[in-house]
Amino acid sequence: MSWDVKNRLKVLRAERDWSQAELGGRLGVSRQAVNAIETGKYDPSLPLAFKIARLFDTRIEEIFDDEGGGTEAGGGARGAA
Amino acid sequence: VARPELSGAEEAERQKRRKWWTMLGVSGLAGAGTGLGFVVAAKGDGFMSGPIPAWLAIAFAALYVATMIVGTIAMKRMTDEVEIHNNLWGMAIGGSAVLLVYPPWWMLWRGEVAPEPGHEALFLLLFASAILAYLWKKYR
Repeated sequence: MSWDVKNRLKVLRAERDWSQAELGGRLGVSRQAVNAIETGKYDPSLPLAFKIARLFDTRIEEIFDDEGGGTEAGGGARGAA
Repeated sequence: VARPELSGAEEAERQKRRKWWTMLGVSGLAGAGTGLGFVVAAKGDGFMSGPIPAWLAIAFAALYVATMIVGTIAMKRMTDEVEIHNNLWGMAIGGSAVLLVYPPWWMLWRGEVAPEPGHEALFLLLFASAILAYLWKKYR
């Protein structure tokens, strides 16, 4: 099952003029970890996603978007509410 | 060229990264030292085929176990979830490689159509495939 999660981390970081190392330091992860998340190579755990959302004072859904979430069998959370 | 001034968060990230590389370097040196020491001590007709004194075997085994335990705990403390994910992925591939190769090799040996499975070859397979998978996951 393919499940692409896109995110706006790079945009949010650029808005604050932070480097990847700066964001990594604030989140307690490495610069490479920030890069892996930004480029979609790694999807963060729920605790880290919450930490990111809190840091940018926004909601997780405003940062991460599960584009395939409504199209997979049994994965139709989007629009169900 | 003047180095750009780092913020507190950037400095914290850099220090964490430096600690991680230092730990990796120390673990690598301990591992390489143990391996090299064993190769020299067990010099014989074939590769590592000569006898080695019991005290040296115990010392190397203790050093290896201590390095693995201390190194794993230290790495767990100073690394983040992406690095742990990459490590687990590498170990999964390494373990799968051994699971794929060892049983048929053992069966072929029992059927007397292949030489006895080699300890060093199997360990090298595990180690090399785990490292390659880890590096691919990290830098792809």
